[in-house]
Amino acid sequence: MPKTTSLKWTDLRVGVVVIAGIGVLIMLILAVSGDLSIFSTRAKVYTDLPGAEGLKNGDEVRIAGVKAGIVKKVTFSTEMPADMNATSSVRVEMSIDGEEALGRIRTDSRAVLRQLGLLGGQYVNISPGTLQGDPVRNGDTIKGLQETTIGQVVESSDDLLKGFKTLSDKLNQITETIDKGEGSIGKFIHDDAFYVNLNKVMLEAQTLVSKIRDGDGTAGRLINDPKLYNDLEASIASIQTTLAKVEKGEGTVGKLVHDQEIYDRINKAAARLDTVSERLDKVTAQIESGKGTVGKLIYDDSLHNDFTSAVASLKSISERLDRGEGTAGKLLHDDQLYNNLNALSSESVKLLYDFRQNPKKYLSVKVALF
Amino acid sequence: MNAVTLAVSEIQETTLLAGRTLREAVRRPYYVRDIIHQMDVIGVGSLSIVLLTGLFTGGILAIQTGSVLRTYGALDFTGQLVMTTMVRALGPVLACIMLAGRVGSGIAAELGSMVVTEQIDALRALGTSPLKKLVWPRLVALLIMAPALTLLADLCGAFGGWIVATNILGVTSQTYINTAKSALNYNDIFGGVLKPFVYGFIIAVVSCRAGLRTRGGTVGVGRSTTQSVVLASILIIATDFFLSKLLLALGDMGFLR
Repeated sequence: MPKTTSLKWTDLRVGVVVIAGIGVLIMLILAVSGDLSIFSTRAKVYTDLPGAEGLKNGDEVRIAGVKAGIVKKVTFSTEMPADMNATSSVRVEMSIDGEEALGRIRTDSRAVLRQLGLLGGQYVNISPGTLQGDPVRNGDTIKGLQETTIGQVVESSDDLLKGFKTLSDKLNQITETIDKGEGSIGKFIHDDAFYVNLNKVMLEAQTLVSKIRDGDGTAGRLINDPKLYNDLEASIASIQTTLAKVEKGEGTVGKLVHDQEIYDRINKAAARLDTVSERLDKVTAQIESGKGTVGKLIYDDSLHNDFTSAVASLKSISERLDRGEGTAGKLLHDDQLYNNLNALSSESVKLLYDFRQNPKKYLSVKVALF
Repeated sequence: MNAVTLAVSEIQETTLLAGRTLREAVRRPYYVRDIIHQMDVIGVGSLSIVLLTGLFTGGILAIQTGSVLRTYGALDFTGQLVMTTMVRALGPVLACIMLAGRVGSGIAAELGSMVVTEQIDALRALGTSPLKKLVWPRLVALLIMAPALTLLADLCGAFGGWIVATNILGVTSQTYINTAKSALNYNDIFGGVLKPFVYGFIIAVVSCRAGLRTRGGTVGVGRSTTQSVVLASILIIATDFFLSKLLLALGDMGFLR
């Protein structure tokens, strides 16, 4: 380093170049990280929003969710809002990076305030413009939109909460009823009768199963005793033998199966039966036409009439008998004859007795001729 | 000579010093023995101070962020936070500032004394390049040892964080180790090595330049020592900002993931 104080700039070429190089390097680093837009132009775009909701300088501006710039300034609108429903109480100045991003904003784009995360933080989202709108230039204003915020959702969820409360109250009632042991479910939970019954059933089932296992009773034998099986097997074997015999044409059934003769006989018998039935047909036809004794019996009502009058007279006779009219009636109802007869018979007995004892009394034949 | 031209001429001289040193280094002799000696003095000698710094920095990080993390129920991420912060920022910066304080001042004082006692002139008279004999070994030693010491400091920081997290914050050891492991990607490790490499270069060049330009006897030596530490520390922190920016941007671009 020169020791004189008269140092010329020409002697400091290296230093100047190094400083310039470091400056360019720093700018390059900032450009790479996106904090310094030295190679692109910036455009101011304004929008009016109903509220800032905590939006501050430096917050992101996104076009269709792609980062496109930052919020430069948040101020109140110059004009006083007309009423409560005014949608332009806050004016936001946004700095949009680059021509490409600005080209995406057209007059039909809408700016909306969005929440970055649950912990807060806002950004302005601009919907991309379409061919319906015209390009926006530096310093233009686009329309803002009110989007439902979480606060508004909470407010509108009041009715929902009320509904939930009613529901939970009802549920509470139901659980209380169950808790008290009322109703079927309550009884089911609190009354042990069902359990006891079930237990009994289970015990019974257990006993039953154990009995069956031990071989008691029919079911037990069925499972444990091989006798039935053996019998069954034996029967099947004998059936097989029988069938074999039948096959061979032995015995009655075998002949029945194999012999033609019995068929012929049956055939003949059937033919005879046919004849008999034909004759019977004729007889019935005659009966139907009221011919002959049987026919008259069925179709002629004179017999019936005679029978009816006979019955009627019998009825009057019996009635008179009942009332004790006439000789027969008296015979039935008046016991005088009986008594007389009885007295007579007892007198006769006495007489006979007396006769036996003192035959002379009666056999004292006094021959008095004169 | 006003302040601006002084600053510009200082930058110029420093750049020229670094350029000449690198230019002369390609020719024999290479002074390997001197390089090894400086690595021992600079690296191994600074081991304890750098490791202690790392250990306590990790512990402080864990204990300070623990209360905030507890608020959000994210205490399990203490390991991740300590590891990321140590490897990305605090490890390189703190280790290299410690090196600037311990090694940079030593270099400046040593070279300054040599200038004042005209030993540099004697070396020149004997045909030995003072840049090559004195500056080059220190530069190489710092370029190699700064990243190595930084990595050890990172590890110690993670260990310090582990001690605090498991004993004071109540994080399980396994959770801490798992989150600490998952915290890093190649970009972090690349940055964690690149940064101390650059800072080592800064320390070496700044302190050598401060020592070699010493004037005015022993008072000048003291002034050079102070200037070397101050300048190196400021440059380290300022460079850290831009390097972090660059590395983050590279990481966002998908470079080294």
